[in-house]
Amino acid sequence: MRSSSATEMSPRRRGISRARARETLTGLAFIAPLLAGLAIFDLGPLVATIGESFTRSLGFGRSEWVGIAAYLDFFVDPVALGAIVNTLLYSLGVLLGIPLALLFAEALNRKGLRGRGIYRTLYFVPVITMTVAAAMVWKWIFNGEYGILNAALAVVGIDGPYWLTDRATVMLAMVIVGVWMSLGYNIVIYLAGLQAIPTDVYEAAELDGAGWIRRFVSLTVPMVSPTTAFLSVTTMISSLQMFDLVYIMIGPTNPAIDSARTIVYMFYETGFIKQDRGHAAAIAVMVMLFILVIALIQVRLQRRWTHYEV
Amino acid sequence: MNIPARSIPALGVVAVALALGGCSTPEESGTTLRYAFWDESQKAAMEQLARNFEDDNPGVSIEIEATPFAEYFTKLETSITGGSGPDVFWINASQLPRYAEAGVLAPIETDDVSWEAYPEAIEKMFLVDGTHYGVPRDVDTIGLWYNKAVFDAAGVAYPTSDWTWEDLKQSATALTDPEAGVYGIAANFDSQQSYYNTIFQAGGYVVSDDGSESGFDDPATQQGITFWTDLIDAGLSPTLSQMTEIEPFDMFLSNTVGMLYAGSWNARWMYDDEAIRANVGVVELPAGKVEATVLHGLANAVSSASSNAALAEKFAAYLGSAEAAEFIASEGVVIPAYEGSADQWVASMPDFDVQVFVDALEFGVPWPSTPTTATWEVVEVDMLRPVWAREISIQVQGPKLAEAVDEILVGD
Repeated sequence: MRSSSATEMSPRRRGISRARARETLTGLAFIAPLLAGLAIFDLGPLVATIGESFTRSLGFGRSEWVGIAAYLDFFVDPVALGAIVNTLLYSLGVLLGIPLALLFAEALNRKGLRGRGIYRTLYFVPVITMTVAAAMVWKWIFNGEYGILNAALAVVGIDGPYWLTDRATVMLAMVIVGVWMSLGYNIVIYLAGLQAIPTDVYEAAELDGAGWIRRFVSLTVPMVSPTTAFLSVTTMISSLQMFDLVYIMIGPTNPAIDSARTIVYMFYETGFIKQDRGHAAAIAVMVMLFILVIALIQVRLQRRWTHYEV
Repeated sequence: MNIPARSIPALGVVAVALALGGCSTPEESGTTLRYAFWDESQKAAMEQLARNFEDDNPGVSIEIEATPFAEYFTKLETSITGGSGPDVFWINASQLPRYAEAGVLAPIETDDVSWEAYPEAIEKMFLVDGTHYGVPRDVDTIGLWYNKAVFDAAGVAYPTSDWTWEDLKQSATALTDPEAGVYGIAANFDSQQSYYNTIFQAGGYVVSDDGSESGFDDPATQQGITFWTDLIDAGLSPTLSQMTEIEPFDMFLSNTVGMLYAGSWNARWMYDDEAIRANVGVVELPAGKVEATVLHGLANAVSSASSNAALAEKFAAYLGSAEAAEFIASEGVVIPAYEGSADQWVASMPDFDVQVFVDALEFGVPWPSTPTTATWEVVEVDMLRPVWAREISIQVQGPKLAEAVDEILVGD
């Protein structure tokens, strides 16, 4: 919107502003149900959580004020630091699925590819699969004794590890599932991005003698960079909140839990097993700040490499 | 379905009315008591007991609410905090002190309960500062289960109830066959069904009787842990990694583990499977320095917020009566706490010698429980895990664990 519009229209300003006020009120009335829902179900609990984070729960709704003790704890607790490292490792691992998704999208976008619909459906199935169900199946795939993965490795003479109970491999295993689950969604978004690129650019490049790789690197990659930026931010935000894979595939008695515990899983342990809601609230607030900071950094960084014009 | 556009607002009104209507339960004549429990397999008996009570008390209706154990206590605490808790509910010995301390349980003072009918150790589990907070319902103990196929294959004699730790180790050694991937026993990383038993048998303790001190720095307690870790080190048990990949119970049932410590509540489902019934047996736990087993149990408690406290108390008392115990025994899932009513439970499984679980009541050691059990239990699992994974010895980790638990116990 141009900033000069108000002055240009100054002669009829009063009339406009009355109409504007009406319009604003009507608009507000339309979003009121949503706004009310937001206030009751999101903002209210957010404020309550922040308030609770300064307390220690004594059970059954009773609590005592402890100030910022839980926050100070968070920075010296080796378990919390381990959880931060694990969460970051997992998120970075899942981010690596984005270039992979671009390659798949490029392949699926080929003209004249047979059974394109089937491929697209196949890649999208993991996205609509319940995480719990997927995690249960992957838990069996990774099983050290009877897992299909180790059976496959055995065929080529590799003695596979106990993927989920070995500290060295547990994070890799979770990242594989994370990438598998996010791949389909990323491919669909990339396909939309690819289809928005005008074909004449490619035709020009082809005339100039650019090969497939050259066109992909110099045209496709920069042209879909807004999509890449969007995907990296959303992937990061969802990966930083990962909980279900640890809950289903790992669990509290697993010898590799220290290499798998994410911040949100730590939140669950604190709030629901140790039953300290106050401390858990502080962890939740830290997760929120953590995600905010990382998302801001990402948005900043992407300005340097994203092309928003064709 | 085609809906004329002009009738949409009308539909909206109907929808709102329906939604509002759904908020309030229809009024019923008389009094309603809500009863919460977790074991779906005992639902039929629960329902029957509720109907019996309704027949004896005209105008009273009982609503039954079953919640899976994994969510039971989270839901119970949340609903009690929110003022919508049940009137009568199951509670176990490990949670009771916490609930009693928070003042959400009503003291059981009615004369309808004949306390002398329950074994003293069980009555004590639901007693806080001399006040009863629950009417004992059922009890459980632990036994040594063995897989006949594994014993037969190795040509080893089946275990007997007069075994000691030494006998167990010898048999486990004879059963173990690394080539075939068969282990003598599974050193299950489970407090109730494994290491608490051996801690008590070694003369150790988890928490001191006055609830002020952890026992993990005590050499006897540590012996109860090394009993298991030695078995892992000797290769007589699968490692923690292996037991996380495949549940010890699954290994036991698939003939790759010869022996397993497991609770009395497992008898029923194994008995109901004919193949399993023919292949497993049970004896008393092998004795260490002394004979011992973890004794644990459930009670029916009454909410202090119940608007029909007297009636709720009466119902709880009925649920702990001889008549109710008979019903519970006939289900054959758990051992009723009411003295003498265990016989029917034993008789319901003639092919298993489940009498050993009843005999074990004599030397049962009550589950260690303090108001902060939920908190220190997590710390215990966290700090014993590396011991089980053989990354650190209990002699090094024990004192650290004791210190951490002591710190939590101060809050009691």
